[in-house]
Amino acid sequence: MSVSNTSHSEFAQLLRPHLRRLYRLAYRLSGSAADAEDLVQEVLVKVYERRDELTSIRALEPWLGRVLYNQFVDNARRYARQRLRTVSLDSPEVGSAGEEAVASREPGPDKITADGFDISKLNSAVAQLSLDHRTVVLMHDSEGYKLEEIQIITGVPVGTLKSRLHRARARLREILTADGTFSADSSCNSVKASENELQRYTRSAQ
Amino acid sequence: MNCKDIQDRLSDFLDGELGSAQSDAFGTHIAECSDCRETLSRAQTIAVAMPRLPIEPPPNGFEERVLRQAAACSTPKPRISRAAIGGFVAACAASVLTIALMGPFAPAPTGGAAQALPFVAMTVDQPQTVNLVFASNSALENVSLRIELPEGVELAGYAGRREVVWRTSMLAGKNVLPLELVAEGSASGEIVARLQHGDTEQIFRISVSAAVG
Repeated sequence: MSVSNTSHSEFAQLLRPHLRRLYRLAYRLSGSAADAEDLVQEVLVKVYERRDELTSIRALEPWLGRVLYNQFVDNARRYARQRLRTVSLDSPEVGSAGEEAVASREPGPDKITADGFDISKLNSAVAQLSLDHRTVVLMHDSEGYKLEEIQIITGVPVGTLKSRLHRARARLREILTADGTFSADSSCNSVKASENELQRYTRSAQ
Repeated sequence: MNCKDIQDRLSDFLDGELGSAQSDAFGTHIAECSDCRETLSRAQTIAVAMPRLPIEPPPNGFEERVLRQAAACSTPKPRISRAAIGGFVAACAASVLTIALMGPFAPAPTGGAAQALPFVAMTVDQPQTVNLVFASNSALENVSLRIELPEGVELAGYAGRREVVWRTSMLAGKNVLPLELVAEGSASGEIVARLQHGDTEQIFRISVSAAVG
């Protein structure tokens, strides 16, 4: 038997369909495009060395997700770090005090939901969650993984994940209430949503 | 159900996991309690917004690059020298390198043989991200960060600039500055990072060389 029966082109053919989803998972975990690519790269290097095993793995995507998650946790333990938030001091559109740069961070139209909710505030709130809570709420509520899939990827039992998801959502509501995101205006929208909800219940009860 | 029951079952309700009897009881309470209606509405607003949290698309050429490098890196080779000022972690990736530097405003290393600079090898016209990591013992506000580039090497988004300055604050711990570098032609020289806080300045140097791939 040669060193490997799986050629590079076969490896690429097997892995390519999963790369975008792996990248999204890596991005949700790491929070930046550069770190996400770095993480996916580390995973592929590891997986390449085991490429003969790949064809025998029935559900490749969750398996790859698990390798990626473990790599992320290893990296986080070994090498905790925080991205610098910089304000350019010399680009033409920015004043010396950087106020314009701050203003330019106001959310664009695509970052506001139909009911006026500011997504960037939610992004900041998610960043304040613990790693365990952030992981489950991003994987489940943002990326659409089922709890059973998250169990395969993280090795955490579904019951624990469910409890973390519940607490993560509650914590997000707390943060967004405390920072004023759910203002009087948005509560008008909220009341409308609640009224719609109420009407559905009323109809179903009749 | 009371308000506490609603809090306890809200997540299950959002996921459609309440049985019909519980769902009816949930609805009855929601119809009667404005506070719980408000809580439910906020939870629904968040649930709708979560899938819309922004995500940057992968850098151009991501798929081909990571697949190619998987083979190239299966026997890991350090891409930067091991004598960085404060040690470093090398990632075996063509696009992303990480260089950890000594914490800001810590005393410079003294004595011993001169240490080689961290080294970044680039390929012309292939963007490469270099993560500079600054470890700080304490949080620092109003830090000025100046990056000076050698001839032929540019920062993505700053075409034609040999020097870029930012203001930043640093947290206690490790702070990363991702630099997306592009070499326009064969080049060699130093990237100089100058961190200034108050009257104190710390300078880091990284050797860079770019060749046609």
